[in-house]
Amino acid sequence: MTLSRCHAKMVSIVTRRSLHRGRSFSFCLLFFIFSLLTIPSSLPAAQPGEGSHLFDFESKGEIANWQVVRGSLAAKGGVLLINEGFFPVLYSPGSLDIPASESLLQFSYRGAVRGTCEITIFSSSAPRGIKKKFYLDGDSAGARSNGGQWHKREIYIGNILSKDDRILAFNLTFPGRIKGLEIDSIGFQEPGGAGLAKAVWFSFLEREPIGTGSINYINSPLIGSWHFMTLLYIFIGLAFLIIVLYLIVRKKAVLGRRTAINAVVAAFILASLLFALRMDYNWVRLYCSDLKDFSGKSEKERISALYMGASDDFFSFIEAIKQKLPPGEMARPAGRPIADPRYNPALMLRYYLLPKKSSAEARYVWVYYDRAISYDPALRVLRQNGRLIERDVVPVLSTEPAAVLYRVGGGA
Amino acid sequence: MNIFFALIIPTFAGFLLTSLLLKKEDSGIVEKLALGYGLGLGMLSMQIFFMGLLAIGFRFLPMLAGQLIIIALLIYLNLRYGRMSCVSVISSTSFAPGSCACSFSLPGGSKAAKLVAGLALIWIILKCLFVLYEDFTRPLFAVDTWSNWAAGAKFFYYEGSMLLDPESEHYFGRDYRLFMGHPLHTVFLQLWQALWLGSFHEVLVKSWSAFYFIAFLIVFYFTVKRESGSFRALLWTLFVSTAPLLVYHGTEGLADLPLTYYSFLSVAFMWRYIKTERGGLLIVSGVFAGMAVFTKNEGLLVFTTLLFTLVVFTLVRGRAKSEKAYAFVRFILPFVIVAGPWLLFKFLGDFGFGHSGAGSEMAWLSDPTYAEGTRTGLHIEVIPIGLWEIFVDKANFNLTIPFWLVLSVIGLREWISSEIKYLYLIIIMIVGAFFFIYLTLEVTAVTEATGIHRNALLYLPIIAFASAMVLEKLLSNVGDKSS
Repeated sequence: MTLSRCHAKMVSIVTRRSLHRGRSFSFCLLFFIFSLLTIPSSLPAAQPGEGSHLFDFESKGEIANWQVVRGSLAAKGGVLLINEGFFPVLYSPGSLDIPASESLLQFSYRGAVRGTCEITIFSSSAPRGIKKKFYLDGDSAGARSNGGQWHKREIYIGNILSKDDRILAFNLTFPGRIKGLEIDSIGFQEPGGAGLAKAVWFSFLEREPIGTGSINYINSPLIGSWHFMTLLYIFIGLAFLIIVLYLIVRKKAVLGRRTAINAVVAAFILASLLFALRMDYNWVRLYCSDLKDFSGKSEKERISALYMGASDDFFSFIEAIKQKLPPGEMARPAGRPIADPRYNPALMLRYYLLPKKSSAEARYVWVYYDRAISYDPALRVLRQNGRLIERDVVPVLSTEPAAVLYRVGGGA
Repeated sequence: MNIFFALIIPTFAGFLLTSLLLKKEDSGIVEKLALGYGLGLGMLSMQIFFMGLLAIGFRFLPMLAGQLIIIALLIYLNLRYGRMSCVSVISSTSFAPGSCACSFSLPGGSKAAKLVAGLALIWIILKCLFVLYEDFTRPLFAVDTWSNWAAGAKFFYYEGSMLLDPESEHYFGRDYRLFMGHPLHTVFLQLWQALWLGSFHEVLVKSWSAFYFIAFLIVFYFTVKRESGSFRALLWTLFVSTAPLLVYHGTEGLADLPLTYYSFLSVAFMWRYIKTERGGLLIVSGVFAGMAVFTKNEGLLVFTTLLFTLVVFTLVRGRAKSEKAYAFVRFILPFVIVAGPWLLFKFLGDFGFGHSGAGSEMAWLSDPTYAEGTRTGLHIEVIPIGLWEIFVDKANFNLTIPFWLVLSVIGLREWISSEIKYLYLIIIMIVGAFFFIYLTLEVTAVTEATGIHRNALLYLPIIAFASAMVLEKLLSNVGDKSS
């Protein structure tokens, strides 16, 4: 059933059962919320306002100004192509000088990318960058047998920029292991009235990213630049006054403690319901995406989906080490391994390698995508930043050129 | 299916213990099962801990045998000292007063109230189903779950013991248990699940978590129901169940949700004791406080707070010395039985309370995880940041805390002049203790929001319960005056 048909059904239920009787508050409230949810779908697509900047990658010269870190970039018939990348960061050209009034970032893309993205905007008032996270609901890995679909994504950035700010540059960080992500265009535009309303509303409904970090908190959604919690406090104040007036005028209540208590309780109940509806909407979104990503999959596939496919090669490496290690032998990282804030290979390998154990005394050492470590096959030594860290080393396993297990000692 | 047996067996043991401890109370089967869930899992992890200390291998059959022995013993004790008949252990209690096993009707008098109650119940059930789905679908996903709690469990599982050989590199799970001083309850629960499954399944080892969420909501409902009636209790339960952080924790195998469950129950039973002065309730409060300590270090705050509250209560009531001493013994002894062995072991091993590998490295007035070169001293900056975090920047607890504050002001007279002041004493002490830690030790818990919200999860239901009590007083007072 489409959203508009649900809406029509809701209208008829509410009209028949509730409004005539005039006593079912719950139905009215649900109807109100449901109506709000249907507004954006009926709004026209944002039209370019007076100001807009569009990067459509039609010329090779234009693409040359874009860069990717942790990935490789190519041009393909008017499309920017990130061939391969590991949490790749796409950097725009510098000195863009786009006014903050062009607060709607739009881009169209195609590719197996799902998860939390991050945009960092470098502006005149924040040259070190302001970050905003958003969820990208592209194709899941392996769903691109027929080339996949083009997706369009709009991100409202007006709430992280000040009014007179100017965007100097920006970058986009994509989640996980990316293979063949195509970007057709990226644009900034000034939203008109309806476009702004739509952008603010969608920004408010943006789902909370549930990643692999610790469970410390859930962010308060923003409505424009306002925290949802702040607006709820204002709502409580207004609702309190309206309810007090209602009780005095319609119910002939006396202005006193009892009236105040009733009004406070009613105002908080209403605000709590609004809070619950919005925040539970997060869980509905999470359920829908988890249904796609995890349901009916094997344990291994679910772990792969958890890391958005980014760690598949790493897990293959771990499995290979498990198979390779002789009984009783253990493993350890060579030197001091990198610890990217997004993932810590030493910690992960120690955990996922079990039942094979890690040990500081192990005869087997592993290196995984650590540019600081180099192997000298002639001298059979490992160096980290030029400093000798292991002698008498022979490679015994390699799943990728940069993923190698070495045995220390024992000759060739 | 194995997973359900893994949970049903300890729950049954917990149910039997609950029946014994609460034989003079009015708890029905649903409440007893929800209490039994936590108690049973608590007994299970204690059993595993003792087996580890006695170097009995972590194997399926000895573990199961231990559980069956506990169940047999509890059945005997119930038959000998409890209210159960010989006919059947379960049937005698399943139709006890307050049970909803035989009949169920929606709370609320009018049709509108029943409609609201029905919607609230549906909402809560949907929430529970969501938590169950996520818990049984996602693999261990939060970095601190797998790198600490699950890593310890996985290591113990494959090692088949706690590896208490001081010469060993991985003594007591070192390197796998990042925080050696962290208690073991949730580690052992994962170990137990893995033993039933026959492998360390990255999704199912945390299946106990969603049931803690459900059990917590049930015990919260019954605790409020005793004071406010079923309709309001249902609305309060809905209110608490919509706290996003609580739901979030229900889907993952962290220790914060079990800590919330045990802490709330230790406070709830202390409250019931304060209201009724039935000594048996103190025993239960002590047991749950002990379990809180065996779940997370923060449980010690709950225990010390409750002990202080008991001191204040007995002084205010002015009982005979022997009576006072008896009350303290009833609270402290069960706590010592449950938490004592772990605390002693921790003390002897110098595992400490801090956030490093081992040892008691408390660096007063300086947070080791705070930026290098940061000044030491009282970090007053955490207060405005903490308030901003709790009230505006994050949306973790619905409006429970602001509502409580407003009610506390409106109902100042009511709560100060009644027993509710003891709940306030508990809340103020726990929140105060946390802020003392933030000001002096763990600054980044607030400035980087790594701890303040999950800590608040501990006192959230206590605040909600206190709010329910104040509101009840307020409504009854204004009702009396109007009539």
